[in-house]
Amino acid sequence: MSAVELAGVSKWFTDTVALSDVSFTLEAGVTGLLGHNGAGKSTALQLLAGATRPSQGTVRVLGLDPHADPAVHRGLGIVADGEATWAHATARTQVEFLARQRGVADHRRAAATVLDRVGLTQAADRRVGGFSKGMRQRVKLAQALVHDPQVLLLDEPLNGLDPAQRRADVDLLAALGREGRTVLVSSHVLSEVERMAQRVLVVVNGRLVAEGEPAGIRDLLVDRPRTVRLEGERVLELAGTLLAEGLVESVRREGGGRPGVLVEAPRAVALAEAVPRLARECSTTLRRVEGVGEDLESVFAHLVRAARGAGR
Amino acid sequence: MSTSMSTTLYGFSLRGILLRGRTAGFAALPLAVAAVVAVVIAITSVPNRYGVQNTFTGNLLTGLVVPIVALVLAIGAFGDERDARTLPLLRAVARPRWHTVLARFAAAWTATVVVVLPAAVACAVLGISVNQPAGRVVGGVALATVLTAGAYCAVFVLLSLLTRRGLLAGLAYVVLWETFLAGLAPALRGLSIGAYGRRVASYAIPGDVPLGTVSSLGVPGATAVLVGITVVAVALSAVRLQRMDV
Repeated sequence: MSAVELAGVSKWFTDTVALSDVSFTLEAGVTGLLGHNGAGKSTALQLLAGATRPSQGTVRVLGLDPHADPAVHRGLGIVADGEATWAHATARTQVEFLARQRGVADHRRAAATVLDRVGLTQAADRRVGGFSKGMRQRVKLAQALVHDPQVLLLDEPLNGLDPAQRRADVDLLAALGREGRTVLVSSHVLSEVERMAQRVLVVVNGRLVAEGEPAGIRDLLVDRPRTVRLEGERVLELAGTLLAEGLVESVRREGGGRPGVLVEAPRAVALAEAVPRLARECSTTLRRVEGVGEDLESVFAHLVRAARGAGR
Repeated sequence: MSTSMSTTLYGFSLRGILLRGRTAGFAALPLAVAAVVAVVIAITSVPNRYGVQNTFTGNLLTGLVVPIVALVLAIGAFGDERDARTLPLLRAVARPRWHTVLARFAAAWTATVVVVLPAAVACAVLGISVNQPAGRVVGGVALATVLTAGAYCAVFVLLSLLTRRGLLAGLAYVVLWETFLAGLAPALRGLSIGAYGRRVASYAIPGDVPLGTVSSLGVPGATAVLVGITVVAVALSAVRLQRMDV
């Protein structure tokens, strides 16, 4: 049995479809949930957290219906979007409170341990109302972790953190995954997701459009528009031929005194197949052929454009 | 473990309500009533205080102070959690959701009784000052305050789970229904919490003094209705929290 399972789940609010026929399962480790604003990431997390019910399909977390069965929260930790902290209470008070409500026997020790883990020991006895946004995010993380849950659902947990905190929390989340927990993290900062997640789900306009390892998703999308850097002797002649053959849409010299040229190819596979043959014909000796902007961000942007074209 | 968890939830909820700025603000209302009662006792003769006691206990305490304070405190039981986006956290606990509703309701009820206490004590002192039996006055005022506060709190907790504009809806209910429309026809009094509250309060007041909109039931009947309203509203709130999307 998977720790987390969505099967044929759709969710709509009056005339707006937030999720459409989404199915996936999650096992131990960190999974990134990527998507643009309004893609359906938060809705998916809310469904898994039991905050809302699916309009269609089934949701199971640790084998239970999270909306109907409160017992699921013994093994489920949530970082919700937005404030989600009690301003009137200290960090320690609210973390201890939630530990107790989730059945932790030694709630004081559990709270102290988790506050230390998220770096809030010094501020633990101050009211959260006076905290910075980054500190409140850490309180939320402590709330989610205090009962040592098997499954963690984290909605934009890195929002509001400074770069050092982000790095620390990326490391923390990666460690949680290595400990055997099932962690689902949504984020807009794709490079960070790549650093912590072994698997990525991409949601666009309420649909799950890609899933797999970050590199695997890029492989799936290899035949997309790409910018390729060519370097070698007589490379300009080769670029001109590619342009003439319609394999690239533009050619420009690389800036900063670098010797290469950058070509924009609408179909990367066609370019890859043609370059060896045309290089021979142009007597070009290629020293380097490499993609530019080969991060998940560019893949994601392409997915978004493609799905938006399909409409919701 | 369950009792301990419930106590924690109740205590956490009560602290949350009492530490709100608006709670302190609305605490001024009962204090003002108490101050006015003190002035009345100082400047009026005993025979003239009969009518004043009726107005203060029946109309001001159970008809205005209790519902307004209950509205402000009980709507926040879940309304403030919704605004602060902590409502999902309150649902994300490993216990039946009716426990959460009961604890939040109990906290709002306790806070309401504590906040209106100066006005209730003042009304009791006013009753004793007109030579009514002290036990009957204190019992009547206390019972009316506690039961009316419970019924209003239960209804407003339910309202806070039904709508995001609970404060506005509750204010309209108190101002339009309780103080105006319910008094238009005898049949409408059966739908007024205040009418039952004033009937219970009549235990502390000479029987033939009019109290405004009063239920036609006796004190035991009015007491049973207020308890019934409280139980039903809390039960409906529990069902609502279990089923609602947060």
